[in-house]
Amino acid sequence: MTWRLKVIHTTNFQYESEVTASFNEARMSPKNVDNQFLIQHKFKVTPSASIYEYVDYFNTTVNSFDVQTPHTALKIVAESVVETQTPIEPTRFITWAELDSQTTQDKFAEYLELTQLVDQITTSFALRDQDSPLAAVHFLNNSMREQIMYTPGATNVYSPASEAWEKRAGVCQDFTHASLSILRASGIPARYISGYLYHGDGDIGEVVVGESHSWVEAWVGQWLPFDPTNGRPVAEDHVIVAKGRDYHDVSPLKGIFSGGASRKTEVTVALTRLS
Amino acid sequence: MNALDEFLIDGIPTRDLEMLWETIGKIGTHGFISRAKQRDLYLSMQGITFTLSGVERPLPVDLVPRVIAVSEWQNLERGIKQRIKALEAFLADVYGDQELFKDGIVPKALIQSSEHFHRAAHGIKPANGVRIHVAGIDLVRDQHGTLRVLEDNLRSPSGVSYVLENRRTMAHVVPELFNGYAIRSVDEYPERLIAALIAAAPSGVSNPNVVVLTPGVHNSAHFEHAFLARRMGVELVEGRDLYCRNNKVFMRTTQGSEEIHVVYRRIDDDYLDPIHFKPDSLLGIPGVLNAARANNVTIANGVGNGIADDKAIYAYVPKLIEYYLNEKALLPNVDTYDLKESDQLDYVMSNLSELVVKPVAGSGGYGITIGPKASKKELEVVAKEISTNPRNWVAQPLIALSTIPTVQEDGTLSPRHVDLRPFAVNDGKEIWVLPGGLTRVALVEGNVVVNSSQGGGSKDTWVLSDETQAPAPAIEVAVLESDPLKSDVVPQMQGPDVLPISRLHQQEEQQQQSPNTEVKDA
Amino acid sequence: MLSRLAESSFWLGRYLERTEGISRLLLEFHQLLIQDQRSHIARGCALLTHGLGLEMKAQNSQTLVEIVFGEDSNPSTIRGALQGVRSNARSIRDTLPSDFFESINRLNAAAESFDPKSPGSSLKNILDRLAVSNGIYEWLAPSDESSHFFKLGRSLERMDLVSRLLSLKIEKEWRDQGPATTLRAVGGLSTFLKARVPITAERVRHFLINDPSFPRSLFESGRMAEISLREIAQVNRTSADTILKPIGLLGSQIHFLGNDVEEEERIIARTPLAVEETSEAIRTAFFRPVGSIVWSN
Repeated sequence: MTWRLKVIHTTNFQYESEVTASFNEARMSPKNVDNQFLIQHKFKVTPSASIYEYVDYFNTTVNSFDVQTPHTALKIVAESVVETQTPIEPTRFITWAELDSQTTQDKFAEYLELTQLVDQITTSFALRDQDSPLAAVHFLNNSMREQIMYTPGATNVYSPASEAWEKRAGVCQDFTHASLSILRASGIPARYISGYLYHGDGDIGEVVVGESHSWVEAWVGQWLPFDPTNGRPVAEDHVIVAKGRDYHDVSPLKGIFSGGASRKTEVTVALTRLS
Repeated sequence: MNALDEFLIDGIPTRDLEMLWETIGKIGTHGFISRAKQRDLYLSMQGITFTLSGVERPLPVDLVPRVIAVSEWQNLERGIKQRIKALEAFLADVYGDQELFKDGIVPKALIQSSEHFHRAAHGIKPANGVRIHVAGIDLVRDQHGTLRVLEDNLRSPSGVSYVLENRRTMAHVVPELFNGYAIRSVDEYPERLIAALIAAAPSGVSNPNVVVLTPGVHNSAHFEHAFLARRMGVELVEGRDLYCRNNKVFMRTTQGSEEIHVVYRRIDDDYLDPIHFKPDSLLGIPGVLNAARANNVTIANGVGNGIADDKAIYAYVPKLIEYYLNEKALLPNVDTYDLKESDQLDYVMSNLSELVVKPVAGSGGYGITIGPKASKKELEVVAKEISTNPRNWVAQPLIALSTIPTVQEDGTLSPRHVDLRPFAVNDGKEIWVLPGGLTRVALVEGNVVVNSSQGGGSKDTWVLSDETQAPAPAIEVAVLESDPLKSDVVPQMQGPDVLPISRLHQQEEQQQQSPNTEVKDA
Repeated sequence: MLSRLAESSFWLGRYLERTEGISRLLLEFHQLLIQDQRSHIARGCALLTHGLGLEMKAQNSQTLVEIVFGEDSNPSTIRGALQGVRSNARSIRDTLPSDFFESINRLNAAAESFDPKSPGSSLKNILDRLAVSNGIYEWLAPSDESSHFFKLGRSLERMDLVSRLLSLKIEKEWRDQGPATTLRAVGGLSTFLKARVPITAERVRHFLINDPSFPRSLFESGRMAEISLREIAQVNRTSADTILKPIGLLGSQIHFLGNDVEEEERIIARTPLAVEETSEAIRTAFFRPVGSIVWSN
């Protein structure tokens, strides 16, 4: 099924005192990728700034801008209209032996290494006991919710996989990082997907307030996406924005500023199904 | 292992050096003592210094020059040009389409796991295609007389100012040594560099503004930064003098802002742009990377060049030359064992006590183990670390570096180990190699020489002009008798990053990270 | 020109002048103290340390010498001012004549061989080197914006030093030698003597405030500062009027001074403040202070 979704991602920063200069990079523009088509993208900053757009190493569209008029509040609105479809079922699956070949391991080296956020975790999961990499991925997707309770506030954006794993609590970012860690430890290349998930009933025109979301893609002969936070496959209610090794590579907004101190940050994502 | 002396064979000077040897004899022991004093005075008054542990000292130039024959230099020059050409192609590929992975030339994992592979540099296309505006290629001469590449320096190689100053100092202090020799000038360097930097400016800029970016006066190489800025006639700036707005770089002046088009930076990638690298860096300019991406400014040398002079990539350079240029490498590497190959790993593990082992990611010479000098326990520790993660290590056979007679504190001459760092400048049309380069002399511990008890020294390096010299055959070689002094293997020289220039560079930069801004008292 | 270079030139001028001012002052004070073995020597020492804004107390002339010669970290001492000279010279090294830089190295070498047991010859040595440095600067430095900032700093520092010297009132402690010592401390004795009038405290004070023939009088230094600043403003196509206000006001007060002793006191007290204000205005107008940038994310 094909959906058309409108996403309005609004970020509001408020500062204790005047910020004199601020440099930022936003990764909020959905990709033209897989079965997804970007129809429209608008990016606006207040106080006004000119936006520089480029495509980064991971093929993500980046909106970069600097604000050098003194300000105590900064508002960023990214508005996109995107057409989504249920991903095509993978047709080519590899065996463990094929996965272990030096060619495959070298080709996907980047998605096999641990990182600061995707660190080592101790687990009793034996993915290698599964019949195939595909079976291992399904097993993992079905098991993650038994390991981690979805608990906002238990972790923060800098928390590595191991922290959430030990606390047995976290949010989608932690589900994703922990899954990546387990998959990579078993030799299955896996990457971090950042995007949005529509939570509504599917009524056309109804605005549903959500948040930005993250999930996993694992290499099983083809890239197979799955959503471990919800323990379900990825479908037309998922909007893909960026792919990378971990959150660092895809963070929706990163930046630095001088002067002032951050007081409050508000992020809202409003999704509307258009058709 | 017997080191080769480049100057004397059985006490007799090699070809071209007879006259020099005679003049040296005339100066004599007492002469050298007083000349050394003159030299020290000259250097400290000229302020030709580097900073060691926060103290400014003169970098002593030894009073006996190194001489390189015309024919050997021509080979060297060709080899260096070839190497840089291939490494330029490699960088363009790695930060572009990555064809080399498709062709299986270098393992993808090797590049992607390197800390010097900067994904943030992907997609930055320098206006005239040059990323290696300045290169310093470190060479050593082995016991058979062969010059081998020890390391490429493609980030911000330092030392060229000493090459120019050494020549002036020698002419000032020991003018008679030059009698009868026609030596190729080194003075052209600043002109070549500024021309290359101007050529690198973003397209469409007719009269580009070039600056030299220094980490500040506390950096060990600040003398060189100031020297180059002065000799090129451009501003020497610090990070706080520049700022970005709308992807353009500006300099703060008394009249307001002035746009900058080329930044010859002498600060490391990690400190260059706090948005993409260390967010707490105060030395850099937030936004400069995207300004380069938008082709409003050129950063020289290019961001991410470290991937091409990485210790793990080094072993692949001959292969890269074949792949990109379809030529055989003219300059050999020092043999390097690839520890990912199990047979090579086995060999290394069973011969650790005879090899030099270096960590791939190590900087500042830390973690280098010199087999013959290491204790049994040290070797065991290294062996364990290698077997845990062989990818993090490289191993090389020990090389007895060649020696050259060097003036001692008491005015006598004694052989000392040397290496050579020629400098090359790429303007996009031609790669030009400065005739000579920086010869560094290791002063073995226990053999204290005036003013350099803690560091190394350098030698003026002469390339004889071919107008007055008959083309000589490649330097003749012979092996000296074993002698504790001469055969002493110098661990410091095994990795150039152990030498004072680059090591201190690191230390100083780390010191600069503290977030204190300078406050001047009224 | 680059703002940072302008700032460093300005401070190079100030610190060079300060090194000389304190050296001369210490030389003369030391002379005074060793010839004077009276019991209130500690009070004399306190006068100088207080006048220079130093917190340590000296008990005799030798400790006084050590304190005033001082340390790198205190810019109100000779060593500290010299450190300021060195660091600013280093940061603009590429724009300075190499002979000047060399002379600064020699100056520093002279200070390093300072011997507190024979401060007289050591200080003389430093003063000689300073004279050479100043001479080389005048002789070789291009007369550009950078040199205007250098001279501006020098003039402002002179005003500051002379007003501090006058506020010490050395003549109160040493009635006989006081006035001549005050003059020597700014190298003004011979110029004063040309007028062929007896040396009195009042005349000396008047001379140092408004004698147009003496380049270090407050009046003359203020005039020189104004000239430099107008040159700078012209190069930068801006107006110097606002920046010049505090010094201009001081100048007209000096001009209409007459024999008003109380007004003299006020002028002496106001000068350091006017220098401070001007310094700050220059900073804002030309040095484009970026403040303490701390990036956070």
